[in-house]
Amino acid sequence: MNGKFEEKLARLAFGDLTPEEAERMEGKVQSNAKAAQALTEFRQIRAGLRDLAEVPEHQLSNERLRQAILARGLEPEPIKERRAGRDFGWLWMPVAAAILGVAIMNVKPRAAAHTAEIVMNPSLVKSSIPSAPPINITFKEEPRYAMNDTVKSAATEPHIGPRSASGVSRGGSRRHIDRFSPGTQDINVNWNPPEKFKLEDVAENATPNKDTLLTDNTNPPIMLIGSTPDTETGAPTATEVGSASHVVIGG
Amino acid sequence: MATLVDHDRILGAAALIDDSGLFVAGQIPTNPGTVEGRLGNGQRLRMKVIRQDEDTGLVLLQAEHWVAGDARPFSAPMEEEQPGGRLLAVLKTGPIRAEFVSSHHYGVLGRSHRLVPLSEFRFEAPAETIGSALIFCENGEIIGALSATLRRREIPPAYGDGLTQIRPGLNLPRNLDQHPLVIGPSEMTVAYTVGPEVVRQVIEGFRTPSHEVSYPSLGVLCVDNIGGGAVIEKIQRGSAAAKAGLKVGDVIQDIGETYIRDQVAFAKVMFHQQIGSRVMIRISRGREVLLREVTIGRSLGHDKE
Repeated sequence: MNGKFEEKLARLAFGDLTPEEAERMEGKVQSNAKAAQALTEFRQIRAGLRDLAEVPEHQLSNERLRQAILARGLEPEPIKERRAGRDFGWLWMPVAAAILGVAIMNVKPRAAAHTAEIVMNPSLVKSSIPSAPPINITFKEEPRYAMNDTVKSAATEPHIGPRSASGVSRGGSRRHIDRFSPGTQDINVNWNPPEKFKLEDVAENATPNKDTLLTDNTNPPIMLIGSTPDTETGAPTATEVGSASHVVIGG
Repeated sequence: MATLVDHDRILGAAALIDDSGLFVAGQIPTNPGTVEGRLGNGQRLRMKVIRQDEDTGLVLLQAEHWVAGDARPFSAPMEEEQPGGRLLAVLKTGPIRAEFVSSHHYGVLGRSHRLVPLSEFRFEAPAETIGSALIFCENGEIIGALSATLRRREIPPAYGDGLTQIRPGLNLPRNLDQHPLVIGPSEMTVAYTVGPEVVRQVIEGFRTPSHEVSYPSLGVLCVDNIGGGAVIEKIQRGSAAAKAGLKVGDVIQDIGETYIRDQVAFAKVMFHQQIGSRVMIRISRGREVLLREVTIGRSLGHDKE
């Protein structure tokens, strides 16, 4: 079983093949015991990655949290059934006002951001494939665990739009959530992340990308240099490739 | 320096690298086997093509009846240029200024699949003149011959697109109104030459009595392996890898004490090996992990698959 075939198996296991390719590969796998075993192992890896869904709080980037918050903000609010005689909703208003008051008093600028890092060790997944060293994924976004949102009262249709240029922070984490009709008082809410944050809570983009996990982005750009001179310039042309994983290299 | 001419057709430039009359040139047609060289003082020389390094495109020429001491030979680069450094590109039409950009790129050469470090530079010149250019730094060292060009359309030139035309019919002075006029600088050509260490290897090889250029090699072609390592796809017959008992499908995990992350890492490690030295290679074959001692071989020209 060569490397290309093995890679196709991995893509099959991770659902990256087209239906036609997947069907073709399934046919090949049925007649090849080694391939079937390798496919099973890849599927175990995939399952193992899913098991890593619970990510400690300090390993979550601010970008993911922000996405989750914004995704939650866009969700339509569930319509609760009103029960006659049990409607004490008005009691929450003074309680909420008191909480918001405390929050305003406690607004503090956060400490300087640092780079968030997720370290996933493939060796956690049971497999007979030779183990690889831990793969580090570094997010360029600076994590900010505090997000200041301006909320206006008296709701109409919720939508999210960018704030004025002066109000947008450098990390882009500040958003103006205009959920209510204008003309009422602005309130700043200091939001803090919960103690534990589950991966499924932070929407689809929080799932580790297989390509990102399996390729190392520290490699410099690779240029493929043709063997024949270009008719225009008389020199071969160089083509930059994003990933060198499919490039055959001699040595 | 000599200008290479074939029946009054300028082929390119050649630089003296050895007092015995050895010249090096960029990619030129080598079919005739003999070309004419014209020196700056008007002297004409008959030059014989004696070697071409297929990886770098550099051509070695021997000047007939050369008198030692007539000129000072150019030397190979000793260290890397700094980004923004000034270079001299000697084209068919003469020398022009070029700017060194970076040495962060690696290139895979088409015929040999060999990974080499690249030096990136750019200059402004008509496309038809840039093939076979020789590149020098300001202190006279040969940076290399132009190996490849890249046109990055997404990067606009610093001072306009260079293609703006003043159309007839506009209220302009008569002499400008008669003919469309192209103003501004033209598109910058981004070009590459192999890195200074490769150029040094080639020139040192050219200077040997056999004029042969050799690179450390195991004689294998590899691709990336999922989970780390480099998978051997092909093994050259009689190569160091074949002698050590390596097989197609083996995954190279370590060379010496260096972990091989992928085929790029493998090629980088091989690039710094010494021909004739012995190293331990850890490979995985199926579920087995094997250690093999390999004597690093040499690759003459490009590996035959």
